Amino acid sequence: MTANSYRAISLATVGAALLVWITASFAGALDPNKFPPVQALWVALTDLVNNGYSGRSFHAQILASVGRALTGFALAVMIGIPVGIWVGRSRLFDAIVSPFLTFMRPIPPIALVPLFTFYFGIGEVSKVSLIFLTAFLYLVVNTAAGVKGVPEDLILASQSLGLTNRQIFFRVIIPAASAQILTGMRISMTLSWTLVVAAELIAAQVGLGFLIMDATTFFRIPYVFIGIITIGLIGLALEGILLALETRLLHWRGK
Amino acid sequence: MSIAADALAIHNVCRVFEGAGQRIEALRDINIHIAPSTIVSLVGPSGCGKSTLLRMVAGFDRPDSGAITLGGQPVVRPGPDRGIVFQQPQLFPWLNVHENVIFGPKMRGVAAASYLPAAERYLSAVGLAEFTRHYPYQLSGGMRQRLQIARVLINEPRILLMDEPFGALDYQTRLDMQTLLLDLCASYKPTVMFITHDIDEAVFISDRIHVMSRRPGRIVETFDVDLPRPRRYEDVAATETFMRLKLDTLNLLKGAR
Repeated sequence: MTANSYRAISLATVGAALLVWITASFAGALDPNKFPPVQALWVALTDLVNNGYSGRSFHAQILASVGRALTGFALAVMIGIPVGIWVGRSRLFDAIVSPFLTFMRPIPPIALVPLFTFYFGIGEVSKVSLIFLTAFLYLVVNTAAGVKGVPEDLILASQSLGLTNRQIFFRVIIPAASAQILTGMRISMTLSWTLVVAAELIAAQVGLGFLIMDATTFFRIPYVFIGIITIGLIGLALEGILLALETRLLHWRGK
Repeated sequence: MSIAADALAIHNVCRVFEGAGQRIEALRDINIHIAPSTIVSLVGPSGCGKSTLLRMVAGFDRPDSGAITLGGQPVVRPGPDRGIVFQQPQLFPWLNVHENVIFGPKMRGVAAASYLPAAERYLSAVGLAEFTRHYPYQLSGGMRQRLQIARVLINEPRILLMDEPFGALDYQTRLDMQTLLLDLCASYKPTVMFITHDIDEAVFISDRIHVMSRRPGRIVETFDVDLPRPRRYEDVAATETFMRLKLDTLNLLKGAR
């Protein structure tokens, strides 16, 4: 089978699932407060778009979450990639920081939410810090692995061509490690997004995580579904953007 | 013959590796003199230190004692006057064929007006003129080696250092590459230090063969290859000279094992 026929199968499965849901909706088989029918979602969506939620517009809720995720992620990229390069190039620095990184990595970030809330309050700082920390750890590890993975002979070949150390760093090591750095960015972007929603579930007054938590408390299940679907679509879009960037920048990797 | 007249002179070179409580004597009293525009091969069993020696000539490593001089100047660091060709092509995968070839001179600040025509010339000399916009992942193993050779030839090195460059290629491609190397040597007259464990290859391409012993690596025998040039494999492979050199080298290597 060709790649296209597999894609067709995926589309058909999604289509079938939607069809079952729509049929059940119009047959009146779905309870709006358990698994809502299409109509209930439409009503909820229209209400959200027109009237917002809990005193704030729907797009303000979305932007709050996206803003937190991107802020934490951007800070992690700005600091984590240089630190990762340093870890990858210096055995000494690696020896100093890797025990902490190794210990921190298996801790589920959610376990840190109460502590971060205690330290930084329920405002933006606690959520952005949590996202920053998680994305940072992941980026450092991936960037360092990418830098360490540059073949020693490629560096020797570059020296032999007469490149300076500075040129070897910027023109050889960084591009050679870029594939793994970009993959690390894509995965930590996805992590940042899942994490912001999780953090908002626990302590927030605005955001998609807050919306689904609050709506559940008041049994407004169609709103919960709209929130979850929105989270999923934005997650897909963010991943898609980074994947497209990766494919474009790393075209030289071939298939 | 004075040292300055040699393209490369390796004089009494010794190298010992120490670490983890082990002391490995890799090379002992190596003396090699390579005349300009000749092809000299080093053959020897695995681990005999032939790659170590080549890396010292490249400037990646230093001898513990002895001296290595290139055109009379001591080797102190890596540089474009020695063109190294690795067995695993060390290309820049994010650069296309053309960009790979010009990368060295471009980074060294050579004028584009000088390296652009040179790139065209060497790419067509190695048979890659049609593939300048291809990326390394799109090339076959033999084509990657051709690119690696063009990338060092453009620097007009005093010597080509080739570390089993055709060892990973299939038989037919290897023969093609050996023939290409001889053609390039006929046109550009470079000096070549060639490392191989393929005796057939050593006899076919070389003017002189040094046979090395197993560790500690020493030169146990030197053969001058008295075969006419230009050489075609099909013309020389069945000659008595070729056969005798092969067998003599083989017997030495058997003894060295």
